[in-house]
Amino acid sequence: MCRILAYLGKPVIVDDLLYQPDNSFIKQSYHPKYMSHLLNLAGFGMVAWDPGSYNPAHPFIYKTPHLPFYDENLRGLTKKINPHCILAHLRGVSYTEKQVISIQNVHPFIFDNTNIALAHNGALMNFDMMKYQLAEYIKPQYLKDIRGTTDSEWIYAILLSKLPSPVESYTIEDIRVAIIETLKVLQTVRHKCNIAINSPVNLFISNGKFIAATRYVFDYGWQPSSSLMSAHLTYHSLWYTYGESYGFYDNEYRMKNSKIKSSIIISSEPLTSDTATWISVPEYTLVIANLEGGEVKIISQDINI
Amino acid sequence: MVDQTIKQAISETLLSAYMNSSELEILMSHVALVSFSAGDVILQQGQYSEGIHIIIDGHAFISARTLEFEKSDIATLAKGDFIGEISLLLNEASNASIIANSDTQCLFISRVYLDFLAAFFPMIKSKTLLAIANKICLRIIDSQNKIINYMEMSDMAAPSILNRVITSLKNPGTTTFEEANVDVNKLKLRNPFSLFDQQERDELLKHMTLEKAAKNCVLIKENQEVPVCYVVIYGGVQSSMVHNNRITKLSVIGPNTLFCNTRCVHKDTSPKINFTTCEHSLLLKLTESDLNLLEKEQAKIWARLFDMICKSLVSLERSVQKLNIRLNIELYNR
Repeated sequence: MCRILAYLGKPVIVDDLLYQPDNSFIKQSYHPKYMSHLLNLAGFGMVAWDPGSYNPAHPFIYKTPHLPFYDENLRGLTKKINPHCILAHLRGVSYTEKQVISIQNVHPFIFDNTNIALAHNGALMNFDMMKYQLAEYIKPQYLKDIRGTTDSEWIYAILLSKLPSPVESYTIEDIRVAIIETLKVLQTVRHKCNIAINSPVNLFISNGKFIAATRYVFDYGWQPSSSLMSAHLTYHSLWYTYGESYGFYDNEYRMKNSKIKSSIIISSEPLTSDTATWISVPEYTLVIANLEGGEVKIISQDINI
Repeated sequence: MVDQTIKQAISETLLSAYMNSSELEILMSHVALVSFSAGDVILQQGQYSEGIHIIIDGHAFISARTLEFEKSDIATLAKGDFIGEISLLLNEASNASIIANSDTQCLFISRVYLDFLAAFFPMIKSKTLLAIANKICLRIIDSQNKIINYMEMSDMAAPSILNRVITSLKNPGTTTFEEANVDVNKLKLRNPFSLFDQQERDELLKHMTLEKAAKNCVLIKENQEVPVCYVVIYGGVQSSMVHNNRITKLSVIGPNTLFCNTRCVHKDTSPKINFTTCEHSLLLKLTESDLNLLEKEQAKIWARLFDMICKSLVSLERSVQKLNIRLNIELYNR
């Protein structure tokens, strides 16, 4: 089912997000609190932006198709780096030999010559039927960059095709429009292919200056009449918390409160068992957060397509 | 022999308004009297409730740490108020701490005893839940007033007249399992029907009407006075708060879930909450007359059904609380 974590704000030690909290991101790979019927064992990926790094508009990228909780290199790295923006993804796929477990399928996706990254929690039902029709909506320069077998990478290519430019010269409004247009393309192609089965698309997008996330399901609550209704058809969760800074305060990992909110986490599930300081994003919603003068500004809108 | 103190205490709670003396005797036989000193934590935020406390003497306050506040005192509880009922019914960690304000005495009904009541005295369990549900309905109305204030301050857009006209023209239509291509045997294996035995679920289904509804079809209008219950089979339903043609989302109710309006338990409350399909949907409906019939003639079915009705109202209250926090944050971001 995948898990995603996005952070934007004051520089943060990545270890505090990925390993330290009692429901840490890495723990969600083998012991997820929500939608625990499927573990997230098919790879880990992370992109992180640090203004002090060389070529700061472009992120540092780490991807592995292996189990992250056995990854000594990852652990060591997270104790050292303190970026101001992170997008991390744990891949969870059904337990079948048909799945392709490879580094090419690990999110977040970020093509050469762009600095925008996308990670996806969900799955497009009957994606194989949609693929060739989706190609019509993707610019050739992005189509050739698709290397893996996931629906998510195709969604990413559509999103890039909907942006006026692949690097920097787009506004938050351009991002908002591109995300909605991407969902409309998927909806159009699903109609053309007569696909009307529950397909979640929780998308997380970032370029280091903003983080955006959708909580959306196409044809929510519908599955083939031949199969038993699965308990897995819950609406994929999406949460956020924000405050002055994230860290270990009063014996727990959480956002420190203050009048000025300078940091935000948007994630598939809260990083702590106690969810008191987390807000659940409503269904059918797009959330975009960016920093304006050191303060987090959140835009949320209904997705009504 | 029931302790006279407990007998006196329980007779002064809301429970005595719904139960006759023999039902109260049964309830009292396994209820404990618990004392707290000022400052004692009756229920800790983040912990699961192991039963329901009912205050019979003293006061307690609700305190919560939220995204917006390190710690805030939300409300005071007094004689007759319940503690831990939401955590127990939803099987979720409590989202607030309850702390005794003064020396406080409570009656405690354990989770185990409630389960025992459900098995052997279903009507007593239902009546206990009825008392709780009535309080929940009043709290929903209370929260609604705060939300309406936020909605009035907010610049949220109202749906266009055309949209409102289109929505008002959509009505659910009745259908059959054959027409809708639903395998009834498979349906019976799903929640909530799997919670009943074979005979009960057949009886329950006899009272239900299958309806199909297009996307954006209003199933329960705001302020609707007629009690009604639905179970979602396929699709989804969005609950929203409506005020002056402005709509703000509460939560989405998905397959295998029962939802209802507050009129199912509280005859005088009609919150400004509507339930509208967010996808084309297939639903089973229980009308007022069916609900009344089940209550009068099918005690065991009614007890299970009422348990679900209460849970749906508790979920609704949770959604209203979350909306309250969300709108507060959105105002910050204006």
